Amino acid sequence: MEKYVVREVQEGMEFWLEDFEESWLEFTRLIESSEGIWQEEPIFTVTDINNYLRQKVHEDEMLQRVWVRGEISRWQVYQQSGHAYFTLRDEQSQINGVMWRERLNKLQEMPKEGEKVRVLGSIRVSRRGGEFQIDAIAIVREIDKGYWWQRFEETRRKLEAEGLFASEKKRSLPFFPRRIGVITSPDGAAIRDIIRIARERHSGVEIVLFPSLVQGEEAPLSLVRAINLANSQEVERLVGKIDVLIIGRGGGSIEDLWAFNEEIVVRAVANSKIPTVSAVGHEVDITLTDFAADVRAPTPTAAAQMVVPDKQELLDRLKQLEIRLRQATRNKIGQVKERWRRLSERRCFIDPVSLLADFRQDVDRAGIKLDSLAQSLISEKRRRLLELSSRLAHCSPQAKLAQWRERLQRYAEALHSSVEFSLNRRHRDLELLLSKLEALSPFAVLQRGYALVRDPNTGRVLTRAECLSSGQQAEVIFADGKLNVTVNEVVKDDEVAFGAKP
Amino acid sequence: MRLPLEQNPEQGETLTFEQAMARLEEIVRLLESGELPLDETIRLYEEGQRLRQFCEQKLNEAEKRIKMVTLADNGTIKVNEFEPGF
Repeated sequence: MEKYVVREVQEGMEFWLEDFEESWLEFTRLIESSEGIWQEEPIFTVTDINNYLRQKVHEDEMLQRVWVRGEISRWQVYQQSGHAYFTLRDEQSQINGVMWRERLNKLQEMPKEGEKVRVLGSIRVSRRGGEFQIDAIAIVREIDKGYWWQRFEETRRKLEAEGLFASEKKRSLPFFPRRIGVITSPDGAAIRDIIRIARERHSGVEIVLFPSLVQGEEAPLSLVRAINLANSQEVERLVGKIDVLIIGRGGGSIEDLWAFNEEIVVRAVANSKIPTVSAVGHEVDITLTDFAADVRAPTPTAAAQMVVPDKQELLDRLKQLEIRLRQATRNKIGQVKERWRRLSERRCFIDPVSLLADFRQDVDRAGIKLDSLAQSLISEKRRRLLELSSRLAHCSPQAKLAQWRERLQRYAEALHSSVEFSLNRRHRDLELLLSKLEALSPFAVLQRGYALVRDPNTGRVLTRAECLSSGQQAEVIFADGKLNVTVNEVVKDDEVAFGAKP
Repeated sequence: MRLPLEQNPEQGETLTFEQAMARLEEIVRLLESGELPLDETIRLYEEGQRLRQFCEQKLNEAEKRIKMVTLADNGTIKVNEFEPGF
């Protein structure tokens, strides 16, 4: 029974690991062949086997955290413990599960029997029953169409508010792209359709595929990477500039197409430097990348038709342009010829001399005018010359020189007389000084009748009586000679001297 | 998809098909106005014919192979030929 359950579970689980499978097979072989070699082979207890299995399962990292999708076929919450026991099943298989009270309390909504859910949990083997169980961490209800629609609207509103879908951001597609980038699955219908259209149109366009996942959990990131890659400078360097980018895939369910509604993908499309065409699913499928791209194509085939230029159409257009080019040039040449013809019929070409008559008269008239003008100009100039030469004569240096010479003479005379005057005056001053000096001379005084007394030994002039004493020798000097005398008596009396005056 | 300088002195070194086509249309429009002098007309006519040849040549270029560009985990970009499975 236990074995049966284990096998059932094994078959039902998609994420079985090889090493566990191997050990399991070994184990079943061991059991099946155990009868014949009962004695030689080791024998395990049930507990041993269950423990072995437990250990194997618990060692497996992937089994410690897995999402399992299925329908709840049994849901039971034990009153006393508060833990929930349930069974998860799909068309072919089932697995039991348990959700402990603590985790159960965190659930927003209790799962109901018959509901499609996804269970996040770890796989374990129960010790007592030896049964595989999923130890649930979280249980979420499988989402329905209404849910998708809601998510779509939420993202759309958010990005629209940011202006990601603004019509003024839309660029027009290049009219003749040389290189078309395609972001899609390399195995899908989209790339095949695009290549088919490109070949039909023979326009020598180059298609560069950037392979990407287009559905599943990893698709959004894969798409974003591909968009960024297509926009990268390295790619421009390696394969050349991508002129337009088709992003899309063939038809599918809303879930299949969901990656094209993911915010990161929509943003990447909106931010692409290369103009974008969104081509997701069929005509009826609308995704948010359709809003973000520069152009929405109903299908990948339609996208290719929009983008890939049609060689024949362009050749026809070129032909038309050439015809117009020739015609316009021919017209112009015709026009010029016609003008030439009309011009050549004019009088000036037919009778050029008559045209000259007027000119000749004009020239003559002008000649006369010029002559008289020249005459008056010459006389005026002559008059002016005369005036200037008389002014020049006034400015002759001869006159100036005579003037200067006269002034020099005057200055020289003035200088001479002033020096003579000065000399005479000095001479007179000198004579006066000399006569004064003479008058002051003692000898002049002597001539006027005075005498001078001198000490004969020292020659000193004795001017006072007290300088002498009785018996002393003295010299009395007159103008005409001297007396050597001896002093008889000194009378010190001023009055006597004055009394002796007449 | 390059037009040498001497073929198109007005538009710089290189020219795309679109530019050539646009210029050709412009030339036709200018000529059809009939207001240009004769020497300018002749010059534009010659330029127009060169542009037409250039565009035709571009259109007749050989079919290109399809490339596939992938980014490896180590960040290197690989360019391979792509063979669609049909």
